[in-house]
Amino acid sequence: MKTGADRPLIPRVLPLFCPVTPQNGAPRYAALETPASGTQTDAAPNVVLPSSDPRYAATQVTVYPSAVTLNPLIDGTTAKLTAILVQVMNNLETWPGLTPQRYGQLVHQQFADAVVAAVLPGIAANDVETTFPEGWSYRSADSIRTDVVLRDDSGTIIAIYDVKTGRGLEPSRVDELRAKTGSSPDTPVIELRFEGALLKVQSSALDLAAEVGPACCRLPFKET
Amino acid sequence: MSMELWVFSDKQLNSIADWQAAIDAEAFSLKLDDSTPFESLKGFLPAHLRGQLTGFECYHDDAGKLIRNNSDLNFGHAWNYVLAFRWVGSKVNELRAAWMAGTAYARATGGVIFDDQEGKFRNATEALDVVRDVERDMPEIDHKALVDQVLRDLKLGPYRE
Repeated sequence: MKTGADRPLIPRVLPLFCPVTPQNGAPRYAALETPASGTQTDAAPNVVLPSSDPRYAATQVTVYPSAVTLNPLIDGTTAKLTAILVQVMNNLETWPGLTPQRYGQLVHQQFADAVVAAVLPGIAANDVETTFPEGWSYRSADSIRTDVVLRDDSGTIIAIYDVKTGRGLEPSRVDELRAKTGSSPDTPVIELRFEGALLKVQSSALDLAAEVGPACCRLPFKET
Repeated sequence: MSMELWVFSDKQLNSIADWQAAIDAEAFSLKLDDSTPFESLKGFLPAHLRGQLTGFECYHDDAGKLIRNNSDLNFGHAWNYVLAFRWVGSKVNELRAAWMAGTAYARATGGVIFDDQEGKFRNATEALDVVRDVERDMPEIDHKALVDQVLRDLKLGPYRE
């Protein structure tokens, strides 16, 4: 039986999430790194095969062009959340003795704490790890939980973010997230994920015309 | 929701009571809420782990569709059923509860667990190793210092210029 060790290290892309079809037939990725200077810079499109052990490989961010929505608030938030996740991974990658399950748990915990502390526009503290439908409590049967939701000034959810440390979101899950959060059927569900040290951001709101590559990664982090 | 596992099986349990019996047989200190019928599970399933409220999301997914969507994996054969477990990645008790419940379910149904985190299949006996691991105390980590470092590096939050 084939196991995870046998699967490709480049994240498999579900049909729903297919990245923009490139001219040369191979998927294209917009890559960036997060330097300690606090700003992200564009890098040439790059795919790096990392170590299969996410704890020890150098961190690299891969952004699927389909994650770019052309909404400045969403794209800026995507860039910031991505950077936070990468920094969390950087800080944890030297911790020894962590199994994949415990490593994933720590990444999620650190990420949630950091997003709350970052006080990003459109993301209140209670927009992190929220129980839905809105107003339901943690103990509610049949509820779902989101990692991060982004709201506009009116409080409407305009993007749903999901940190994935395993395989991609199933299409049924994307539909479920939209339905139970009460968001519109075209609300972007953006997956922040890594496999090894690769992280990709992808959206089910696939728009083949929206390939602007790393544009969302140019946003400065100094803005409030 | 971020962390997931699936239990593929050719038979299902009939009720939460049957599932609880399987959990008890593994000697896990986990009590499932039985207010929702097993066949109607489609979201958070509350549970108590050593008396503390926790739980995980649980869904009856379409096994055929899941297998077709993941054609790069060798599922062994076309399983009849799949029970999906999803939990908030940051909550260690949800991680523990999901693995305990999944392991017991796999044992009771003769199924296999697909661990989304590792992309790996495990039978119930192998899954017990994961349960034992996640049951151990987490390492002492200064979470606040790590979060501060992340925000300082990115000039976010209190370090925003």
